[in-house]
Amino acid sequence: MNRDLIRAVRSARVLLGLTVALGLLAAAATIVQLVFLSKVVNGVFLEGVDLGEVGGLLFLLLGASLLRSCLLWVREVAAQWGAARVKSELRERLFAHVLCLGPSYTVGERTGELTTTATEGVEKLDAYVGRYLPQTLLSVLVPLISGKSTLVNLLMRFADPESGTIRANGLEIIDLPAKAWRENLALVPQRPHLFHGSVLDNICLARPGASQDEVEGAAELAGATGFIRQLPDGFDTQIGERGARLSGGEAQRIAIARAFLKGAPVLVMDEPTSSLDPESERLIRTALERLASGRTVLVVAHRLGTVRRADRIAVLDEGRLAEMGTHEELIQHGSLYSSLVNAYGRVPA
Amino acid sequence: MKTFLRLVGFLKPHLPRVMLAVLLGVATVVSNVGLLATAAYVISAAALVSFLGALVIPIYLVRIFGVSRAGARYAERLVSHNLTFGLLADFRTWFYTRLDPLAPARLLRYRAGDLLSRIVQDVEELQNVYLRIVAPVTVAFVTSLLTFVLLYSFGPPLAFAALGCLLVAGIGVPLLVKSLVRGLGQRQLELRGELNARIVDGIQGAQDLIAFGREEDQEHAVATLNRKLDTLQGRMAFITGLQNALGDLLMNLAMLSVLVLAIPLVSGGEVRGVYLAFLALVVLGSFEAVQPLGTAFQFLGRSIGAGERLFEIVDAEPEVRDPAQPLPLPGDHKLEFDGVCFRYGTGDRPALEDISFTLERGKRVAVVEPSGAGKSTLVGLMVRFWNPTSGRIVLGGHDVRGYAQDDVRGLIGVVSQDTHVFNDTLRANLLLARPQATDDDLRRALTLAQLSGLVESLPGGLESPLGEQGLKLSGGERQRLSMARTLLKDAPLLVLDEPTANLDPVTERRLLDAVYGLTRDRATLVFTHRLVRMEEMDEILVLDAGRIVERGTHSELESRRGMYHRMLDAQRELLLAS
Repeated sequence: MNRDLIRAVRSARVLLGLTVALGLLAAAATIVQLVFLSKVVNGVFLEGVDLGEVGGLLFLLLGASLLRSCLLWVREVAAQWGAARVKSELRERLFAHVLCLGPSYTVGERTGELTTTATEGVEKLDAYVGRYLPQTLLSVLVPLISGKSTLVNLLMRFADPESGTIRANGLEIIDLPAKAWRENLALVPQRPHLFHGSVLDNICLARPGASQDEVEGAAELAGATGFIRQLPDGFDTQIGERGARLSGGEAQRIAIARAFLKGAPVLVMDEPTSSLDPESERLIRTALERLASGRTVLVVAHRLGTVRRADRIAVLDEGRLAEMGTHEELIQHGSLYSSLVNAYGRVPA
Repeated sequence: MKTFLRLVGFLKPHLPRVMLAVLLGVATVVSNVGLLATAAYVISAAALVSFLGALVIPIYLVRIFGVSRAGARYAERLVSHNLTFGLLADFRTWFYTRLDPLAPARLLRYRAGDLLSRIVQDVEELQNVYLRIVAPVTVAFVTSLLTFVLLYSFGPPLAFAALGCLLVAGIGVPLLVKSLVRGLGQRQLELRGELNARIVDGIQGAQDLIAFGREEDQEHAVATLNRKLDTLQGRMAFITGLQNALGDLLMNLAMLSVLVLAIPLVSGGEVRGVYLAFLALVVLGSFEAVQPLGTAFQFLGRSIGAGERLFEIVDAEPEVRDPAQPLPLPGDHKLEFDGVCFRYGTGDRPALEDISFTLERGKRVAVVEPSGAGKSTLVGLMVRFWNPTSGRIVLGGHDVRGYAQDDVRGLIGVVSQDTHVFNDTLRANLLLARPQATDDDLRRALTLAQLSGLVESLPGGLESPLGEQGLKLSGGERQRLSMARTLLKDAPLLVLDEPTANLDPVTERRLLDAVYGLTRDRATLVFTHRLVRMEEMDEILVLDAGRIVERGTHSELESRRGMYHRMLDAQRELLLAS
């Protein structure tokens, strides 16, 4: 049997021990029953006594049967309690562990498998569960991260660099607790997740204690008020799988509202690659401009418009920094960046 | 009940094996009763006779029952599991053959949530109809009857007392437990659903939770629900635990009542004393048959639920049927939409309204739509997932309804963003489109689709595994794989769905050069809302809310200052804003 499973069972050991003990007692009651039965049969068959004379024995037999049934009942209850305890413990540990592994581990194709494990897998108490428990943070993360999003992951401390350091105001961020560091950052991911709950709850994720006014203010700044007002219950509309579905552009604006509400000094934005409808694009762009003022911003950009407005542009090629500078400098430099810009320039004007 | 009978109907072709399995099940219980009862008889009789030779036959019977019990149990398991697998295979084939013509128009409705995986579970669930319901109930019925007949020969009151207890244990107790547990069971299902939704939500949204430092909140919410579920399951355990305990109690009560009724008969000399222990143990043994009935009741509810869900899907009418005598495909592949309207349901808003256009060899038509909502409907109509609500789609001069669906699909190559990458080698993923393609064909398609760089970088070349256990393709690579497949299929009608959405501008340009080079002798329909190289289109349709609001060439539309012009402006602003 799997070691982790045994460990999980340990917490329910009193209940499981009780189950075994009661089972033994029930077996003892069976033996007592059989003794009385054989005495009854013996009395009637060999000694020829009648019903009245074995009546006492029959009552004892009845008593033993009742006792046995009660023992079986309590045993069953203890067994079920133990199983429920083990399952709920595993569920909580698995969930906490997955969150501890962080988004680089959970995002992507693995999400489905993980959610199945945490729900049905735990129900079935499969040894499968054990597969996810023992792995360490680092061995999981390193082979998975690649491409542009790596930068975001490193900055958010979803992963730590294999070598080199990241400094903020001269301080190495690896020396800070990850949670404390993240308080300074607001992330607008490529595909923000909307949780089951109201629009209000979803924006409040950034700051749970926020007042209604603050949330509405953040939504206004994010250019989200327009579509939220059109939802059946406004800010109280339930969203997520069982509620209203929002478009990609709308989800983005919820994420931007979260960032406004959080008010962190550093903004990290992973622009969506697929194009949104022009109206969403325009609203998001103006919202981001508002959000960026007075803050440090890192954008993983896919749009030339966003790139051009940046103070500094870093061009990555196959994971290496190919060029860095302002738009004008890079254009004059005339290499990778300018060839990208030229390709965009072929858009009919 | 109707659903249940329909499910039982699946047993009909397997009737001989069903009978055999039930017979073996009865034999198992009878052997058990026989073993206990003859053993009791032998022990009792041995007290009376000094010469064991008189007991040879009963002693042999004990041996035979001992062996036959194990043998019958083994054979019963063998036959019934074999039967179950056969049934399951039947269910699967039956369901799939009925499902196939429904796909995908009907199934699109089930895409939401986890309904597809539930279908799989429901089919699995049906195996319990035989294994856990039909077989145990039949066995219980037959053995109860046999017990009744046997006891009746000793005295009718004995038989009725035992039968009464058997009935209460087999039917009364499960019904009692079911009614007691009803409210709690419902609440438990809800709680578990809520808990699972929380966990799924937390895992899918891990990035947002962690970025905002909210992981403890979610863990706390999960823990709270977990406690609630624990408490509830604890309460349920009291009731479900009762089932076994009551069954056990009834078994002993039955034995006691038979004793109480039999003792006067023995004292009165109507029944010989050696049979007293025999009778008590017959009753004990016969309860083995009613024990599985508790679970049978649980499975009955679940199987009927599963059956109803499956029948509902299967009984649906296919949206599109092939004609009895499909027309041969025409040599001319001109495709015309003639005033096509489409709504998904009778009450729904039309998804497409009055769409007319012509797609012919050498021509490129672009469909531009800000929301992208009508796109999948339009493609669905072309590949005959649906029939238009009104209007006609004409292929080579005849209504497409006259052709076989597969023939029409063979003419159309679709390049889409969400193509499926199978868990197999690159070669297998490509050969899907044209099984007889040579290596040269594959390489040419890969080069045209701008994927040759990827292939060269792969250690195994064409044999490199893709998908879950191999290389995970990026969005752009997936799309180019779809392009390569379509090029291999070499269909006369090409549908390009946002062919360059995930690509950088340099690759985009190369890909479009390659593809447009190939489309000269094909008809091409392009869906896009990136207005790139639109001057190369013969006609542009601008769709809004399912209607064509503008149509014409790029230069015509640009000068018209309508919706197309506004989209161009918005795009230019995005790309060139400073």
